[in-house]
Parts: sequence; structure tokens; C-alpha cells
Amino acid sequence: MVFSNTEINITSLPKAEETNLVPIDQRYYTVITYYKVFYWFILFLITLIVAILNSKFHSWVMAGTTMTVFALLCFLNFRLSYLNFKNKAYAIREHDILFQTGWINKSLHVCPFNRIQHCTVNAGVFERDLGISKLKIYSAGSNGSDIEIPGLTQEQANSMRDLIMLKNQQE
Amino acid sequence: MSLSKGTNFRRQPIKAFGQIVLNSIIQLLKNFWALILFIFIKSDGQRDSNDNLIYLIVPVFIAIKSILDYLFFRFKITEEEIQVKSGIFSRKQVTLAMHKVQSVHINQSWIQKFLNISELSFDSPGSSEPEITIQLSQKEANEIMAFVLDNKQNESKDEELIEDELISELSFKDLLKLGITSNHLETLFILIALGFSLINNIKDFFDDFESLMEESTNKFLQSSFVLIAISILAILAIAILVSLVRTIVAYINSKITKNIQGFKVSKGFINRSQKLLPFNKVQYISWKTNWLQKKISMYVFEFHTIGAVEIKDTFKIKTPITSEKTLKKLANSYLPNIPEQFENSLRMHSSFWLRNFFFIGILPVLIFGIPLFLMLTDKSMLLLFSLPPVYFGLYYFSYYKKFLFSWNKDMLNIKTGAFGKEIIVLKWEKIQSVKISQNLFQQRKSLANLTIHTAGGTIIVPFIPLNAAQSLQNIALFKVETSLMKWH
Repeated sequence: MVFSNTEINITSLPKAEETNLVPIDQRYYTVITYYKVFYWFILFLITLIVAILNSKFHSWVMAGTTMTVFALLCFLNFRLSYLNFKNKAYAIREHDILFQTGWINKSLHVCPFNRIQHCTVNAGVFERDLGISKLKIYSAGSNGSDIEIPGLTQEQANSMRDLIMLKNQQE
Repeated sequence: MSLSKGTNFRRQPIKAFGQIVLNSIIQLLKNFWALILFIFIKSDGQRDSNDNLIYLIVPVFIAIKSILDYLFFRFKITEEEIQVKSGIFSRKQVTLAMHKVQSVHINQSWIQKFLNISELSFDSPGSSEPEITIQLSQKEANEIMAFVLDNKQNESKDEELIEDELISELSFKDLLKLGITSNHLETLFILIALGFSLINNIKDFFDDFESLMEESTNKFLQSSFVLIAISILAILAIAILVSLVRTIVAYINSKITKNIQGFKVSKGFINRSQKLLPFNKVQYISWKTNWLQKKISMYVFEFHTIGAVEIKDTFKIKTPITSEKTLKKLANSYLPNIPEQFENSLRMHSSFWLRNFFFIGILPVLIFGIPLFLMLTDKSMLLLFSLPPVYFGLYYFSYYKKFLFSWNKDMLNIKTGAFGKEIIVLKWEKIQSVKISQNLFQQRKSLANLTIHTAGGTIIVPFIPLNAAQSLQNIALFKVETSLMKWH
């Protein structure tokens, strides 16, 4: 066998940042909304109970301020979740999988197929109800190295899992 | 070499019972030390019937727990696999295939040394702790370790059998040098944290703890300047002494040998440990030194192995070395010819230190300092608040100045450290995945953090230009995806 070690032209390498990413299913935002509504409803009940039991809140000024702060936080949380959702996208290339997420902290995570240990597909209660699933890709890397792609249809998630594992065996 | 240990499950040798009892006592002390201390403090030499009951319950509990632990732990070692059954109420069975064993460690505590038994630990990839730990007679432990080594050797048939080569051995003088030049500030912080945790744990047992503390603090502050200075010096001396003892205990009898399977790292005087590290298990290497240690060519070398991040310190392969020649020998075993200068290198943006200085050094001081300034009558105490900005300012500026990220076709090299110096060397093919992340500020300034995940830990290259991070991500992916080398 002839050993060669030719120099690689860096500019000719495929660019991960120029890959066309596929946004995740809109139904995933419905799931997020369900969880958020549930969370804020519980928080509202707790705030209400505290306000009723504490006499300091028994004035229009205090009640108004509390409600305004509460509504502002609630709005910000929903807005950030939406922006975060809008930035979630993925792509599968010949040798790796890409996942983009985050708005405040935007990231593009790429995991080569030949480093994947295993994949799982799972769905929570709301996700099952809406017919979507999550694909989780595990690598041998330390904390934070696994990729979790939510908002995929059951078929999409299963076929992606099978494709990844097939590629993994081939490489 | 073969193993003929029978096909039935068996218990550990009866001598192992001594260590099991010791483990039970340590576990009990760890969980209930504050309560035990309270009983001793409150007894005042007079025992009532309740105290007597406790003196009876504790040994009985330890004895029962130890007997059950001994009886319910059974194991089987064959040439193909190691199996362990344990647990009283929830049964647990662990099976580890021999070919999956990545490394074997032999540890020996003082009690095990006295009883002539050893603790054998087996490690496999993907596990955060040693998968299986069994106590065996010294002879049998050595026999099994040799068997595993033999198996690994057969996997690499084309290599010739050679004798163990001594790489480094630490003398007592080296240990003293290492102890004296180690990071005393770290020990001081550990001692302070320990002191606070001790105070926190015992305060519930005293009715008037707050007033007692206030009274002693006032008395101390009112005492002469000389006394305060002596006390501070005494604390510093204790920190230095503790660092020295910590270093000696951690690295006494430290020895590294090398053979065709990998490195053997042994250390310890009272508790002996011997770790086997196959070359392919090493994901990346690093070595640290500080200003003083550099002057005497002293480094702490670390092999970052599979799963090492979650593994507690005792299983990390970290070893001090006393010459540049040894350092080169160890580094070359991972990757030959690591250059001093690289053709490509990158520094981080100055906003890294400025932002960290502001958010960690200044902002918390403003948040806590302003209310305290308004509340306190004696403003002199607030002088202490000038320390964090100075410390963090110096720390991050020095970190920013020293940080240099370089690469060539074979490896990545990172020079880092604030008050000391650390060098990290990583082969491209050991990378598991690569991530580029940007917070809002970085998005505005076209900067990014490059996170490199490996099976031995994560390396972060912060605040580099976005286009450089993207190029590096593409190069890393190309190297990993086209590499024919195994990463483990």
C-alpha cells in the first residue's frame, strides 16, 4: 500500500455552517405552550394564595404591581421560548448530524456518525397526543455531548434513528 | 495464560471481612458524624441508659450490615466474563465481558495489607466508576491482573514482548519539593470551606451558638494587632503544612512503568494502589506547572482517560514528574514529536477578560457592597470588598494573556492557565463532537466559543472569531470522519 499524506485545502472542506437546516415541527411549540401554561398556572395559584394570606398585598398598589411583574415575566418567558423554538433546526449530512438551538445562547452542535454510541426515540404525554417524538443521540463524550432533537414525527424519528445506526455501522 | 477459577459463584475470602467492617464504620461516620460528635460533647462523662443503648446499637448495626454485605456479595470470574451479584433488598447483577475490560487496578488499604488481600477494580468504557470491585487474596489478584494484561497483549499480536520500562520514580526529596511548591491557596480555601462546614454542622447542637460566635469574634477583633497577625500567619503555616502532607500522602512511592500494553502507575505507602492504563484509553494529555515548579522542572502530568470526568480523584491517572526528559517521554507515548511552535495559532478576544472581570469581579461586589455600605456604621470592613476585583482582574487578564490555541495536521495544542501554566494536547481523531456557541454579546461581535467533546473531558476554546471557530469545526469533522484510527 502506498502511503500518502497530502495537504488538505481548508477552504475546500464542506462547511457545516452553510448546510440547509430543517426547522422542527410546529406541533412542538404547542407542546411547549402546554407545559408553560401548566407551569404559569401553578405559579399564579401560589402567588394568589400568598397574596391572600399576606395582608401587605391587600392594597391596589401592591396587587397591581405584583400582577404587572407577573404578567411581564410570563410574557418574557413565552417570548423567549418561542424565539428558542424558532431557532431549533437540524440536518443530516453524509457523515454527520447537525443540530442548531438557542436564541440567547445560540449553538450549532455537530456529531459524526462514527462517534455515535446509540440512539433513542421517546415521547412525553403531550408529544404522544400530538404525534411527535424526540430523537436522542448519545456519544461517548462527556457531559453535554449528547444531541436531543425534539419535534419530529414518529416516522421521521424512527427512520432517522435507523439511518444513523446504519451509517454508524458502515463507518 | 488461563484462568481456572470454577464456574460457580463464590464469596470473597473471609479475610475481606475486615475491610467490609472498616467500610461500614466509615460509611456510618460519614453519614452521622455530627450526631456522634454531639453525643460525645453532650455526655460530659455521665452516661444515662439512652447513651448506653447507643453504644450497643452502633456496633450491632455495623456487625449486622457487614455480615449481610459479606454474605450477599458473590462473584464469578471466568476467561470470558466477570459477574457480581450483590444487594440485600434490591438485587443487583453486573456482568462485564473480559474483552471489554479497559483497565484493571489493584488497591490495598492498610488493613488489606495487614491481612494480605487486595482490592481488584475493573473498568470499562462508558462507565463513570470502576464497574466491578472485588477483594481477593494478593496472589489471586495479581494472577487475574496478569491474565487481563495477557489478553490485551494477545490483541496486539505484532508487538514484541518487552520488559517493563521505568519511566519515572519520585524520591522523598522530590516529594518535599513538590509539596512546598504546590498550590497553597487552594489548600487554604479547602481549609476555610471545611471550617465553615464544621461550624454549620455543629451550630444546631448549641443553644446560644450565635452569641457565642459573636462574643469570640469581638474578643478576637479587639485583641492586639500582633495577635491577629500571628493568627493569620499560623493559618498560612497550617495551609502549607497541610499541602505538604496532602502531597506526600497522595504521591509517596509514586512510580510509572511502561510496557507494550500501557502504563502502570503505582503509588501510596499506607494505601497502595496500582493502576493499569492501556495507551488507547487515553483521550488527551495535559501537564501543569506553576512559576516555582517550572524553575525546578516539576510538572503534574495527567492522562485524560475514557469516562475520567465523572470518576472521582482516586481513579484519575495524575502523576508528578521531575524532569523535562520524563515529560517528553510520557507525551511522546501519546503522540511523538509534539512541536514547541505550531503553524496555526489563535488567541482569544480581549472582551473575555473584561467581561469576566466585570461580571465575576465587580458586579457581585456592587450588588452586596452597596447595601452593606448603607447599613454598616464601621465602613473599614468594606475594604475587604476591594480584594475580589483585584484578584479576578489579575486572574482573567493573566488567563487571557497566556491562552494560546494552536493546531497542526495531527493535533490540537492549548496553552492555558492563570497563575500557573497548563498545556493540553489532543489528537484530532479523539474528538467525539464539536459545538459552536454564541451568547448575545458574542453574536453582535462575531465571536464564538468552540466546545470540543472527547470521551476524557470537554475542552472549551472561548471568545475566538466566529469564522475561525467555524473553520476549526469543519477541520475537526473532516479529521474525525476520514480517520481510520480507532479512538479507544
